[in-house]
Amino acid sequence: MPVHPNDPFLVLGVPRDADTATIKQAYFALVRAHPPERDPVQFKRIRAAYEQLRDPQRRVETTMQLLRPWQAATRQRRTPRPDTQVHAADVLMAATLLSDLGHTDWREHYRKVEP
Amino acid sequence: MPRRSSAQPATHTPETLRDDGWRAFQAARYDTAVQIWEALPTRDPALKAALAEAYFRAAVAFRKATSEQTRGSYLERALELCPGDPTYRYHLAMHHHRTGNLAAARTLYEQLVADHAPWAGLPELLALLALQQDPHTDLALLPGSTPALCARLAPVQSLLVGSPPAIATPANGAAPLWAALARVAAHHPNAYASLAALELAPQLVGLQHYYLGVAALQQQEYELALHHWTQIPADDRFSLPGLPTNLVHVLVQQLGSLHAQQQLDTAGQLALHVSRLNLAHATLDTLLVETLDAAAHHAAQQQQWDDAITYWTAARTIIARRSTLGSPRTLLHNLALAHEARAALRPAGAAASDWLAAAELWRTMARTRPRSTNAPTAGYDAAAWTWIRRRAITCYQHANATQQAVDVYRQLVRANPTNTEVRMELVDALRVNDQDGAAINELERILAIDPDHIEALLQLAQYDLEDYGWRPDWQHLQRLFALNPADELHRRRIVQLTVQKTYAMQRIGYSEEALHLLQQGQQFEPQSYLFPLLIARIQIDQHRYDLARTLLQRALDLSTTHHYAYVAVIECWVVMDDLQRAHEIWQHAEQLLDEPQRVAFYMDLGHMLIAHSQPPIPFQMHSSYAHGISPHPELLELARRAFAAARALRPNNALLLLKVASELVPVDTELALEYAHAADALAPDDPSTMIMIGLLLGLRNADREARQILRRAEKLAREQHAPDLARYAAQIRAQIGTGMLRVSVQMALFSDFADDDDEFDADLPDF
Repeated sequence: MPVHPNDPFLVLGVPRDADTATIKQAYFALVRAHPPERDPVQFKRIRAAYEQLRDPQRRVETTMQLLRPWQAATRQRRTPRPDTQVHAADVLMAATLLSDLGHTDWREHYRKVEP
Repeated sequence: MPRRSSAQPATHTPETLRDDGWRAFQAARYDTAVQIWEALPTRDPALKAALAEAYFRAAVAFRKATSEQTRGSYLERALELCPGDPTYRYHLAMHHHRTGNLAAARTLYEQLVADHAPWAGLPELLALLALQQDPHTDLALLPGSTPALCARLAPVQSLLVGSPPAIATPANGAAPLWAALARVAAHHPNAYASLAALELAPQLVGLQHYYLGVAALQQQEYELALHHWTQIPADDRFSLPGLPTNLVHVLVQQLGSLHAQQQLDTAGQLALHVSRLNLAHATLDTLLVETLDAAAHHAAQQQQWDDAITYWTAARTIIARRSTLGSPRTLLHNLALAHEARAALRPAGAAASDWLAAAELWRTMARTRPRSTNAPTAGYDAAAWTWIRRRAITCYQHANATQQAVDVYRQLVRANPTNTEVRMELVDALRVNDQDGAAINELERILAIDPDHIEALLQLAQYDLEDYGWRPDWQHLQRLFALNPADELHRRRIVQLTVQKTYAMQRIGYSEEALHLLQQGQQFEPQSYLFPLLIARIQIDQHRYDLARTLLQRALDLSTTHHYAYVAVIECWVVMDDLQRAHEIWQHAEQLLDEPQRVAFYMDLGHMLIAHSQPPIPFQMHSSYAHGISPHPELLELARRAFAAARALRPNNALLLLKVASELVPVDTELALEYAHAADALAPDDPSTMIMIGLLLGLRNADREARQILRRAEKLAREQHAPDLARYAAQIRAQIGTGMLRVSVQMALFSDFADDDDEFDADLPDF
């Protein structure tokens, strides 16, 4: 989704890595389909999109101000099966916490001393 | 064991130290008491016992603040001081048990049981330890075992060995918990209800929530499962090995469902919460980043930049802790743009923090550029990296922190003195901070490190264009020619710099040097009409017309689609006073250019012909339009024809008609007025058109009518909130009936030169 309201690549119907010739071709095809006398609003959009992309420097400026989708480094991904077992480690931990090992206040074990 | 301290104040005696230690002991500063008493050279039994007790209490009193290792050493020292003490032995055994030293713990437990130690929990601890070592242990055979103990731990053992509990357990103590977990293990439909009904101690809440989630998952209640898992405290002690797997499984279902329903806000909030759990699972982390990114994009589309920033920041945090997810580049990119977008919506003061954040993000992103030029950087070429670098500076500028940018980059340069990229960043920062002298020095330093640094040479060549480019300095351009860089953008900039520089050089009389540069420069755009055209112009200047003709033909051969090429070539023939050839090229252009191009062609042609039809103003600066001009009514007629042809193609375009009127103002006010009225008919109540009509009427001495219409134009402009136009209308009205009107118009014609770049870059139709 672009920061700019009209993604010029979408307007011209070309991919973001399209070369200059492809962009130009797309532009002229769209201008023929939407000439200014018949469709002035669309013509202006098409023209504006082409202006942003035809010049290499402006193209960099435009492209760099478009948001990009993040892609994971690797495509490989498996959805793990659910683990619905009751784990021994959890049972032992619970039993441990319920025993003296889970007790935290040992003042009853303090011995009276006099130095 | 703590070291005996020898650093004691000379004034302290053993008695006072003993008392100091006792005071610390009474104040529960057991570590201090230990330190003081350990340092005493001798200890009587009472002190020994007190010291042992201090160690013991230091071990057990502040569990969270003391490391397990320290605790263990304290307990061992306590036992060393009071061997055989059952309390200390018990706690040491528990310490070993807690830290996984089961063999040592078991030995101590069994000793304590054999010695009939009084603690009721002791046999249970031994039994638990035995189950940890072997879940199939016969509990009845353990020292200290009782039937009650066996009954109490039977369900635990059942769970550990994976068989359902066979014993009907009393509903007290922990029995309901084991029963509920047994139901979970058996996938019993009542598992959830029985576990939910329990009121457990705080330390078991995490466990309860986890298995409530598991029970819900068993019934495919994904939302309920997630609800419970997100309630697990972040610092929960349970390892819950199944949690990451289950979270991923359920999140995949939930997030997939939310995506399908386009509920990206909900998906984003969920992912945000789960990300804070920091479960460190590769598949989960990938899914979280994807979800956060999608939610951020959705928020950005709604212009909800706060949310977008929150989501991308969370995604970035995940990637930072897991390098296998790939580069953070895209997230940094989006985050920087989001900060910029938010800054644009805020008042200046509040926006500064966003601009600074964006600057830092662009700088961080610049650091992700691979050092090797061959390393792939998907979606980011050299031009993109340059843009990123400069964008950081722009953001500092917006934050009014250009000096801060300079300071930051100076520090980086000091840390990396041979790194030319960092030095280029400093150059950018210096330029926006208006320190051009320092920027030039820095560029020279870059060249000292790398004499072939293209960007530095380009920027220095740009500086050579200062003072209208008249400085006779073109060594940087020549160095660029010699290096002949392959990058398209670099080559384009070299072409632009060459055109600008040679244009200026020609004007001040360095024609041969300009010619030489152009001949070298054409290697960068050999298929462009530009260089043969510019060289032809110089040849015309030098009256070498035969050479010029050959070059003009070459320019034509290279320029089938550039309308302005035809205009420029026709201009050369006009200057050489060969109108027939000019006609031929005109007709040739009409055949080759398509309609949008033809409109622009006619307009630019008309403009050029009008300029050449007029005598030069004395003492006016020389220009290509003014060179060799003499009064020429035929050119004027050709200009009228060109404009008529443009009008025929765009009869209903008011803007075009107005433009033609403005072109004709200095030379044919009658025709100009006709065009202006036609524009007015198509688009009435346009202040610009009315100003034009008023001006023309004034030039034709219809002063009263002119003032009336200009007054109306001024009023309309104010109503349309165009104060500049209103002021202009008033200014023209004030000049009606005075000589200033004509002078203003005449000056406007000869100052109306196309910008050097636009002149050769205008290949698009304007109308």
